[in-house]
Amino acid sequence: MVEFGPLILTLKLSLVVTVLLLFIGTPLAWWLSCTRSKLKSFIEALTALPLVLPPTVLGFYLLILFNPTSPIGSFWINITGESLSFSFFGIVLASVIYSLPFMVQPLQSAFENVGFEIREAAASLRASPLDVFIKIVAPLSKRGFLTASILTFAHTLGEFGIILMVGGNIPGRTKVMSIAIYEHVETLDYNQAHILSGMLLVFSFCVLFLIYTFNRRHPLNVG
Amino acid sequence: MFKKINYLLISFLAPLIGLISCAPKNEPVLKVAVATNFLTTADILVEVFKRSTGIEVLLISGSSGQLATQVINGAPYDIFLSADDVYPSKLSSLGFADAQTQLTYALGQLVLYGAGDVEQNLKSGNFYKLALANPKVAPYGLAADRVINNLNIRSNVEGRIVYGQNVGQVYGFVKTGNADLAFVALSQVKDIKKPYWRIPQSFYSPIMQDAILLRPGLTNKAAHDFLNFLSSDEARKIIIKSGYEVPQNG
Repeated sequence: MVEFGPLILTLKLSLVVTVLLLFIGTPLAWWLSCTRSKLKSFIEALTALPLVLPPTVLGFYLLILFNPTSPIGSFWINITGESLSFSFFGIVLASVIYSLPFMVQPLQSAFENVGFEIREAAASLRASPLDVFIKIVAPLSKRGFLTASILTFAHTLGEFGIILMVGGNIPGRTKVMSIAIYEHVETLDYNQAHILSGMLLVFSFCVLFLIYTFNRRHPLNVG
Repeated sequence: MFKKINYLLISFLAPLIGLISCAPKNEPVLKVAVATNFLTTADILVEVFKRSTGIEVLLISGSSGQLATQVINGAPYDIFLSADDVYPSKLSSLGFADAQTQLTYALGQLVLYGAGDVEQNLKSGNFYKLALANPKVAPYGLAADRVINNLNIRSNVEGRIVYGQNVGQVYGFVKTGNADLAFVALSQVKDIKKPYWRIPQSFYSPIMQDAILLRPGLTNKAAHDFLNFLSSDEARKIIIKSGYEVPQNG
């Protein structure tokens, strides 16, 4: 008997996080790629933090931020009636923070690769900054978008530590694949652990394989 | 330029190599794997045991399931102090432990902990989130699950239950304000002034925390000594003082 609940939940989480991060990460990466502000290094360091921090640090802080008596936690309860901790949205928020660099960094380097000359040429022809982005930079950064999305999706797929700390292991809401596998290993139920792990392994490989194949067949000539 | 880098490298590496080579030389005689909920008590026991025998004990802590998994995969532990009686039995049936040495060293006591009159709040449903350890992996979670059944409040609490991997995490959920009621172990809250409800034993089957001699410990005299020590009066007093019961006539 295979349980599909955790698989479906994991895919849903990864998808939601990827879409959200596309909206958050694109403007952020665009700003980082153009700005000459002194704040740039500061924001870049902040964005890269989840790469180096152990999930326990983020999980611990989120547990404190999410609790119903904290400003953020109580605000969320007031508007939704649900707590952030132990909820699907809670792990979405946690994953957005955790996967942020996987979206922002590839996008930023893609935007930077487009080159200043071409942007300036467009600007001198009176294209607004938004026009420059939509008509020139975005189409030339297709591959960056694809890479960033896939990395974000795959990274969220493999998330474990933070969700273990703030999720509360609730079937259908926060019990994702990695948590379910952990539970099966812990109860020495190696059969189920094998099935779920195998599924995750094959799926992850297929996703990565497809993206590398795609990248080879459609090399983008930039600049 | 290169010289500078070399010096830099050496000044980083030299202390590192020093650190590594200073690692402790004498291996402890006895390695005991202990369920995290019992770790602080085990620390005291080990100290007392060392004072009378001079034997150094290394404690390795984790959840019972993790430790059992490690044993199955070759971890060289002599004794296993589990938080339940299922994992020790499993290990002996798989040939990793000696079934004849299995003994109950402590009986876990379940309490309900949280804000206000916890017993009343649980029964009347006057709470926001109820935390318990995952019944599938944690014996205290299984006991809590039984209590919910026996109090006939399942339908009332469903949807508001959240699970921790063990009573430690569950306690943390209350401590950080993410849950306002939680089933935890008496040993965790016995020194805390906040009121808690000690669940009557009739509401759940005893949480038997069993010890067992593992394969590497069979030929280790110190391991046998430590197991005997666990059922001595001195050890039992410490265990009771830490918030557990012990079986009659040990």
